[in-house]
Amino acid sequence: MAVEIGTRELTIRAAPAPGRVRLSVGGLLRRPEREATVETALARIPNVEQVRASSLTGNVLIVFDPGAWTTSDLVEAAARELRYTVRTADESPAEPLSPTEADARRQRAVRVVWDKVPGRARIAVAGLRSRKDVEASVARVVGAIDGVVEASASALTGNVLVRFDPARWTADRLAATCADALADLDRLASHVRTDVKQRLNGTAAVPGQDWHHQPAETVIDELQVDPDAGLDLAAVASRRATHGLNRMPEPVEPSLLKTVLDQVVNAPTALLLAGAAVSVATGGVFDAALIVGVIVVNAGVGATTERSGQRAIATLRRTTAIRARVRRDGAEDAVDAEELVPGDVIQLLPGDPVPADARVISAHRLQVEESALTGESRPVEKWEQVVSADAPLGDRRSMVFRGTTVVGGRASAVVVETGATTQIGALHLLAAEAEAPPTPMERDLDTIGKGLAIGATAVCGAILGVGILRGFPLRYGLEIAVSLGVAAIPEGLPTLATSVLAFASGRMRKKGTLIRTLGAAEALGSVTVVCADKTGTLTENRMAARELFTASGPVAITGPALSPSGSFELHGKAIDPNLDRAVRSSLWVGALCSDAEVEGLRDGEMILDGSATEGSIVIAAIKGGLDPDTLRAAHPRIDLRDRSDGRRHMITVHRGEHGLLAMLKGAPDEVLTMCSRVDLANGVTALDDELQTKFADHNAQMANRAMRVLALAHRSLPAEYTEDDLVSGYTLSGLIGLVDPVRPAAPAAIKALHRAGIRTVMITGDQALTATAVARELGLSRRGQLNVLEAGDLSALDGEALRGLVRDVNIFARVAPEMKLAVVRAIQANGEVAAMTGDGVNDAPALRAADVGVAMGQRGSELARGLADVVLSTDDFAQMVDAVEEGRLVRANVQRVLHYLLSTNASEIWVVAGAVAFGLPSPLTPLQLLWLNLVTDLAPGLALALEPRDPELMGQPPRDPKEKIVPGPMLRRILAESAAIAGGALGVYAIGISRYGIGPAAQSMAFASLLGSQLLHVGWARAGERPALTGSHGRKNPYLPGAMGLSVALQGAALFFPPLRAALGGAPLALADVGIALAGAALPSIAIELSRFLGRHEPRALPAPADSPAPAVASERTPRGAQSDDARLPSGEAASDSLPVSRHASVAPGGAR
Amino acid sequence: MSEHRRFTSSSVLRGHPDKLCDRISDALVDAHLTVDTRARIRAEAAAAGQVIFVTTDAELEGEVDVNGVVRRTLLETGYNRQDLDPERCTILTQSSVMTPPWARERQDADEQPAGEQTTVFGYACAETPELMPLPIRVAQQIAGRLDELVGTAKLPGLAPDGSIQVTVEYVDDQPARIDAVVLQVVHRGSQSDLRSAVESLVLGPLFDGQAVRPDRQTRIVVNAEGSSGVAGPGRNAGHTGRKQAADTYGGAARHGDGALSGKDPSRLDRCAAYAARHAAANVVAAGLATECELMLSYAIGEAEPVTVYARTFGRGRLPNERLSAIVREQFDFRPAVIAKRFNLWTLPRQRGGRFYRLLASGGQVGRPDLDLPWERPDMVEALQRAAD
Repeated sequence: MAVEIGTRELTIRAAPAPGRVRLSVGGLLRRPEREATVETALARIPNVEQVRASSLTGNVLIVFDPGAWTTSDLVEAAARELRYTVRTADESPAEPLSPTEADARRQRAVRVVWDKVPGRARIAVAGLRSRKDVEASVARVVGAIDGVVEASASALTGNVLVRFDPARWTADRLAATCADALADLDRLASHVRTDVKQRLNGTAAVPGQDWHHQPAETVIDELQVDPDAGLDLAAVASRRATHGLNRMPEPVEPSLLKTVLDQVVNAPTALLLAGAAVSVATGGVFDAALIVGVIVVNAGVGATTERSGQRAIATLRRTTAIRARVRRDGAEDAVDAEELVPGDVIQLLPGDPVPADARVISAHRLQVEESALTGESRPVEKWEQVVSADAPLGDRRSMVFRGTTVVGGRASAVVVETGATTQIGALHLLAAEAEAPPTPMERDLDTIGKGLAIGATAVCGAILGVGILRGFPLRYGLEIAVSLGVAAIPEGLPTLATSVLAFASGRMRKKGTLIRTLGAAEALGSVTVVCADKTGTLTENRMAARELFTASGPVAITGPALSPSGSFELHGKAIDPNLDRAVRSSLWVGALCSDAEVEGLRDGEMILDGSATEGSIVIAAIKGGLDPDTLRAAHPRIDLRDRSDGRRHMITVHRGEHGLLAMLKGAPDEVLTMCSRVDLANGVTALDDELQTKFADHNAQMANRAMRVLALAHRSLPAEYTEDDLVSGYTLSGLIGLVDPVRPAAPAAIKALHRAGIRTVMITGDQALTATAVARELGLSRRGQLNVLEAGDLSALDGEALRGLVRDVNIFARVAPEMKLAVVRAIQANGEVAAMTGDGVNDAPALRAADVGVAMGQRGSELARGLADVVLSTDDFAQMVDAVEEGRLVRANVQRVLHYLLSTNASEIWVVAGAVAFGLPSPLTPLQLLWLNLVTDLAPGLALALEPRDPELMGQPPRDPKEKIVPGPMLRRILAESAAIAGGALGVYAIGISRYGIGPAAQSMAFASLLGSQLLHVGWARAGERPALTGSHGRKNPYLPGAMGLSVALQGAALFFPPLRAALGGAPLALADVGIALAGAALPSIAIELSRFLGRHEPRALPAPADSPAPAVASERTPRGAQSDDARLPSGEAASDSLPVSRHASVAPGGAR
Repeated sequence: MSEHRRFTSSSVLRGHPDKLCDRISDALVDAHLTVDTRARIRAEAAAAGQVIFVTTDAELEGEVDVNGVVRRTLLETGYNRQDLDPERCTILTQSSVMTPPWARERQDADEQPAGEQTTVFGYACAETPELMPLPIRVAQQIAGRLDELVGTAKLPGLAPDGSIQVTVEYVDDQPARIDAVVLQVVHRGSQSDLRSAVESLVLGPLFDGQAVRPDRQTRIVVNAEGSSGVAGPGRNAGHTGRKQAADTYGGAARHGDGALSGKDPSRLDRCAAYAARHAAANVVAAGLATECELMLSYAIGEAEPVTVYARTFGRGRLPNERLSAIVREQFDFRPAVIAKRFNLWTLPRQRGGRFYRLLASGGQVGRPDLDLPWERPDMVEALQRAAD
């Protein structure tokens, strides 16, 4: 691709260090689309290590090997590569616009187009037209202006429609403010777009300025704030006007009108409306009214269900406002976090949520938990020192970010980014970019609707043609055509399909699973891969002390992470921690040498103040029966040697009954060198080489099991102790190992998913080691073999390679947030249906892109919940299994409903078409057809929609994602069975004609026969492909008897209640006629049952070791040992409801052996 | 009329993609045996671009941080962000871990039969004090010295990737002179710096005082085609077990078809190759021959080798048949016995977790720097007694 750039000149801007040079590239400024081209071109130069082009500045930063290039040679080379000339710096480019000129331009750029209604205005924004890319950002920026209620921007018209508070704004003043806010539309666009693009590509990650790379003083200067006094109120006010409120961009909810229209605008409805129009034209006003009524009811039900789901999520999204400690005008104050502006000086204390992105200006052991943003579960220490410019987000130790939480220490920081420009805000934008695809069933139903509409129109046309040729009057021909149209369209289908979903989501909501979009319930059923975020989803995102290693051996500590209950077990046997000297003194050290405090108990969980690490050790002490408060009161702390740079342990000195005690806790390698003795179960011994090795080995062991290990030791001190006394002579009590525990229900849930043929993939920001340990505990792999991809940078892999890898990999470790999206996309590109569970803000884009995004509701981030299709209110991964089962049931029931409706409707077409083919008038009037479709079908259809779970639902592999909701065999069965039903009715019609001649009596007999056989057909629709009477299915449908009873009563009314009978155009029937009709109804059913019984093939052999999950893979290696639970897949009759499972050819990379 | 011939052997730097994979594999063997001295482990690696693919098949009590081992190995090999980022490169691991099954009890028994059918070779000759052929010995030493220069200020810009070829001219089967030394290394810097560093820091000290050394006619070729700008798997893909000649005798003797690296001591490809070298070296050290190649073949299910065949190329005191019989009688070649005799299970732990990884570069035999059990002339007297 040629680089087409205006001024083809390169200017050296700066050469900050050997090996780095910043060049101004002509034509790059404000042209984000050129960044990549420039970067690629320059990266081709040998010995260039890094190239970063920025359309914001028009500059490119080149990092190169200073041994290979001098700066000027490199610039020459760069110029050659770009086919540019080099300009020396003194020929400076055109003067920048003077401020006033710029203002004037800006003013011209935004003008009020329309403001006739107070509180509403249409504002034209120059440069917005045909810039689809900036549309959303403009709306967000304007929407964020204080006092603006709503803003929508259109790239089509170039206008922004604003609703605002008329008491606070006039249209003109608002326009001026907009002009300021939108001052640099291109900058806005490039900011958003390059950022999103880069994040999606995984290249240069993070937006915004390199605040982390600036010394704190520079940041303070730049933001013009006095760090001691804070901003003055005037500055706050003016900055709020420019930057808006510190608030996240909110997703826009679709309007009611749109929701309703979505339900109505489709092909079947159009055909029905056409039918209604024809009816009106031919005088059938009652018919027309009935048809329109049907449409209205359908739309109403659909919209209501969709709406209630949206509402429920809105309440979930509402969260309490967070407060920020801010210093302004020299005084400290707590304000709403929304009030913060860049330059505000904030104070951070443990437990505080970070209210905005801020640069740390001073810190004391500040620990921040950033898992929501980076996926890293361990708290990160922050400080004020400058961080290198290209540090990834997780390494920006000089910055704190909104959406994270302070867990220890304290700091003051200066706010640098607020609202949408914070890291988390950028993720909100990123998430908005990733669109969720329509679910397969939505697509299929749409296709079926369209197909039926087209087919019915064609058949109508043909019959009308044949009728005219046969000399029927036009009016009569039209009537038949409308009859057929009405017969063909399963009017009940949209309502029933929606109901299936609504019932399912209702049931799930009762169990705490919230389905946000109806499509999601169905998509859950086709899931072939569940991608689970580790931290917080599979694990508890807490620290828990799990093992205490003493001279006696490894003591397991059981019980939930934050609960006081639990026991101590040595070699699988519970021990009394008070009777074992080593265990007891370990717990003493843990309780005394700690700043963590237990503040209370809520819902059986302890509330902690202090670091998670210390807290978990204190909890271990409580589990062991100690009361830390009593212990601390009895042993007041008189001295403290804190951890520091170069010291990875902490010492506290306490006054006890028998003199002074020193307690030591810290990194095992350091602590071990300070110890000379070891606690035993009943005494003390010297720490000899053998014991030293034993502890060191076990330390390594615990570390390899992804435990965080701390050594605990103690000694008594003389009253006048020296520094030397404090660093030696300790007695080692034990090593305590901390983990982020696996959720108790997770292993069983993963097993259940495996049984259902669903692969589970763990995606985590953590190291492979941690992830592997967790995966083993979870049983993530069914073959004892774990495939782990630990990617520093997934973007180093090309798409093809990644697609190949995702078939096999169980764990994606150290995955950057934006790469989660790449993984999900790669899985989808393999034709799989991916569910993604997550709770952090960093999961949001992937949640959105996945076929089913599942958010953890309780501790999940607001953003994750807002974007997910499914929200699990209890944070329990086990709910996932239930949700999948429910999803599969949805599909099975929609298929039952489809089977029923399509075969009854098809039988009506056969009947009408058959009669016309024989030159007979239609045996059914349009009204009778409508009656059949709406009344006969609806109640049984509803009952089918409520069919309960089949026990085997979760014993089958997932269906082929490509399989249609009505697969070929099912369609053929529907056509054959409907032909049989129609045959029965036509036979009865023939008998009727032979008895009474052509007329209402014969018609009524055919009508009665059709009614009967359609009702009977419910049983076969229910059974799917199995015989209805002889096939075994244990489940009972409690709604079926009632529904059938109601239908029978209504049919009876249609046949025997004179006014209704007359309205439908029927005639009274003699008893014998009823008998004939019933026989005509029963015979087809018997034929169907026989054909199913005979044609019943042995249940499809389930893939023997259903080891290979759905369409994907599995290497060919024999599973050694590790017998999976898959062997227990149902093998009998059971099989499935109807779905033949075709599998993709499995691709087995098989490893490099 | 004296007979002249030239013989050429090659070696590679420790960061050469294939060797890097060997090193990763052996570092994993070290790590597993350090955690559990009775662990079973087979590790293989492949590397291409910024992606390392590792498979491990292990039975052990405990855990090994596979990715951590891989990343540390990259770092230790001398890679940095420029060529293969130890921190950020992508590692795909396929690991099966099982808690040790029944096999473990039998593993210790002397009678434990061979688990695979394999043929290995050991070789020794009197060309150098290490009883190694001169060409490979010189090539290994040059590689070793270059390895030490990587990352130092003495030769900045030298990447840990490259290959060395050494041609020795033999007169009447005796090494007479160094005919050519050809180096191809990745070096970012001036060609003349490289050349002078090679001469003054590598070749000079190496041949100082040696009888066979480069002379005026010797061709010393350094980066004849210039240097590739990229080192490591970004230049060439690598795979465990593809540098077997460099691991053993530089082509002067036959070698088995199984790789040595990445295997625990229960694997005959590895332990029998060491035993064969041990026997051959002792034969030469005992003065029974000036050159000896020993072939050992094993059949599945039998502990004793089915073939023990020593040959001396007409340079021994005894007929091959007699020598073979002596060797079979004097050495116990049963797999479990070999592993125990050489302490192959416990050496990694004894040496602080660093044993096999050191073998992965610089040759698995003929390493005076490592005090290897199979290099000890501890059977010399027994052999001499048996021969007399």
